[in-house]
Amino acid sequence: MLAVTKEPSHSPYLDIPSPLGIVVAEYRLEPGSAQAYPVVKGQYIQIIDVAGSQCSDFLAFAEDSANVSRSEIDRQEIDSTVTRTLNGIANPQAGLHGKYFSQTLQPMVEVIQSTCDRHDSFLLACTSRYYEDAGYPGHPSCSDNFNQVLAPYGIQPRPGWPAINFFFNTHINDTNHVTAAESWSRPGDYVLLQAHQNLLCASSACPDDIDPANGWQPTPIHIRIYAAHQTFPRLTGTRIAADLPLRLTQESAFTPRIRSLTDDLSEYNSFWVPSSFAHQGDLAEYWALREKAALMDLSALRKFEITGADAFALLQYAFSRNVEKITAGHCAYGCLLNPHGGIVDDGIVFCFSPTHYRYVGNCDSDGDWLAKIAQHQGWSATVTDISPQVHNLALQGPASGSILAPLITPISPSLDSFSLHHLGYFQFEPVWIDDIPVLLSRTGYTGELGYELFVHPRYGPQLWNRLMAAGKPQGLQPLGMNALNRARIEAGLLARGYEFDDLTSPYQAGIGWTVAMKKPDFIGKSALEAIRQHPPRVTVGLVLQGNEVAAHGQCVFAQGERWRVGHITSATFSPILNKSIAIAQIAPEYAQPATIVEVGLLDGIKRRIEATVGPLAAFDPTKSRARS
Amino acid sequence: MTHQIMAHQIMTHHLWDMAGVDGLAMAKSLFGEAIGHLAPFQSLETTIQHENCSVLRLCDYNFRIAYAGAFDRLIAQQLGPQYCIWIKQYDWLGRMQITLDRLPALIEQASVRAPHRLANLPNNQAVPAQLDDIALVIWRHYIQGQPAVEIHASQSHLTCLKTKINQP
Repeated sequence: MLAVTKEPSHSPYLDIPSPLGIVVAEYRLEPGSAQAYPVVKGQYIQIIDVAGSQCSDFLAFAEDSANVSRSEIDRQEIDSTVTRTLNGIANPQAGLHGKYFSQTLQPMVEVIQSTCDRHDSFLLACTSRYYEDAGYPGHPSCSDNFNQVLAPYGIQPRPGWPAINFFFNTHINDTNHVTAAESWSRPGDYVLLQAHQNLLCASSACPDDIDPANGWQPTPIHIRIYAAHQTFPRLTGTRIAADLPLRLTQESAFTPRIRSLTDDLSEYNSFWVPSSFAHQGDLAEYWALREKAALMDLSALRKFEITGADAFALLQYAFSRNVEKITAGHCAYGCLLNPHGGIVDDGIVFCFSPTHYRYVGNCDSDGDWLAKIAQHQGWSATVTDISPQVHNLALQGPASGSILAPLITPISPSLDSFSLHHLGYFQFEPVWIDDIPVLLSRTGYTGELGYELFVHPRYGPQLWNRLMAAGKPQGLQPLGMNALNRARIEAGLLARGYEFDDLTSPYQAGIGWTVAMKKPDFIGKSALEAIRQHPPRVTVGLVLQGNEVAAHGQCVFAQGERWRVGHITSATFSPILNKSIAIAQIAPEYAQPATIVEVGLLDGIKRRIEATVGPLAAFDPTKSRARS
Repeated sequence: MTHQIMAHQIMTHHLWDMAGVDGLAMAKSLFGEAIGHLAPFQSLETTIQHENCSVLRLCDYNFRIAYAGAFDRLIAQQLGPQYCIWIKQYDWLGRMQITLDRLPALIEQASVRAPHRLANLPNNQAVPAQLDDIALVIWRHYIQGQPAVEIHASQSHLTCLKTKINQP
């Protein structure tokens, strides 16, 4: 142990981030060393990669209450196989699936925070054997280092320790090989764990200098132990782009209300979002949406204000729709494009005036992209990320209008006679709900009549409560992401990462209708003129025979043939259609309605399911409900 | 006597488990479209051939039916080659019943794993739970027209479970 402090955080170490709370012990592990240390139940362990690209293997053994080691047989230690099995993921992540378990299925430690999302739970800590086989007999190893530091605690040596290898970048590739490469971690990246038992822990600063695992240059690891009875928020750090800061998982203004109704939240686009609600479940939420009304938190969307004399010119050039047709009070769905015709992001442009627009999309980088175009073109347009100031709910379902109508009054005094039925499809209006200023738009992501409500976070809990109370008599229920995903697949609505990415054109993704080819010029126009003649694949809806549900990535074959014509992008069982449905991208030659194709389930060979090509939206393809 | 398990002596139904890729389709054909509205661990009450019947959905394709009659023979009449399902009575699965007023005490004793919750367990809702080391399903629903709480656990744990639940 190198230092002990009881104050909140005056660390003598200047090469690492400041302490997160009250430190009770800290250890600096020099490159190629290991350290054993006790941790009391409730305390926190922060493992910091000081210089970046450095792996740190981790062991934890349960101690009894008297802090006396148990016998070797009885001692509980972290078991990676148990951990993967109980969590259903390769590595625990902060949140519902955050615990590392022992061989008797007891929680040992829990991930509270992680700023690097690539660790290894499959391989041993490095062993002498590894180095010997590579021609380095006598090379230090993490396993040998662990043996040395654990010996005083009566723990028998092992030739290889099955450790949790933090920051070790391994991956199981398509050919079932475990590959390893340089760590993804940057200087100061860390993992924060909370002990669920009294533990003896051991950490290493891996000595591997013979391959890229530690960037060929082992560097130090720093361990901090924080006092129990502190609370640290659960979060995961995500890097969106090389030039953007680490993004930490955050709560929306509505999350505290949502947490009172469910513990089933997961990280989505750097926000905590509910998957489903307790005593309810995704099907009940889904049916509430389709038959009554549902309320969902869509604050993970990113919002950018585009203002200035050339705001119109910027969007006319960057956005796929003809922005001339988007007049004040109207909005339109489309996509941001790149020069080769790929979709940078999909989203909605709101027009307040020709010098004031709002873009609502998915990515933090959208604003940078728009600003870069404006700068490159020499246009006078300012792009401002207003996401922190604007969170949003969606109230969707056939009863959404009747719930909302009595609650709203227009903010504009000139609209005394305004009522909700004046608000047309893809129109918006600033309104009051009680004393809450809300931007109300008739938009959604469900294929239902519905509205989105944009609000300052300080009004979030109040708005949630108001809407839930008002909707209760009509069966309004909160809706999680599982039900939303089912509904959006039925409605043929795209999801980033599933139906499109920046290599996918709108013609392939099924939103070619959003491209205003008659515009004189826009980003990607020349590429798209060529692509639209014959896109490599087009997006269609499939209705599968039988009740089995396909999965993202499964192959679509020509009927009776061995060769593929496309792949599944999303799939679900549609309760309202009582059919297994999918969205697929297939060669245009097979995209005619009523064409029979085959979906390859399992290995693609063992079971082929016939599917019929249909419209992208299997449910209400004309959007009659949303437009009603 | 209100603290005693009382209804296990009078339970008349059997537990039938039904599952398979066509489990939902078969459940709809038997119980109607409402079954498709249930989320996992939700249930509904219905009748089959004038007998009360409770249907608990366990996951997308899996159902547990509390029914006094020969459910297997009943659906054998409907089971065509288009349905890929099985129906079983697990001999290792035991059940007991407590009155609704005992539910708060049981909730006090039991625990659940996230994201499940015991608090405010509504009618026609079940939850997988643990009582000390014993795994159980706590299912709140109507039995013979009366609100009740049915508990499913391994047969081998039933005696111990009854003792634990009856402890003040």
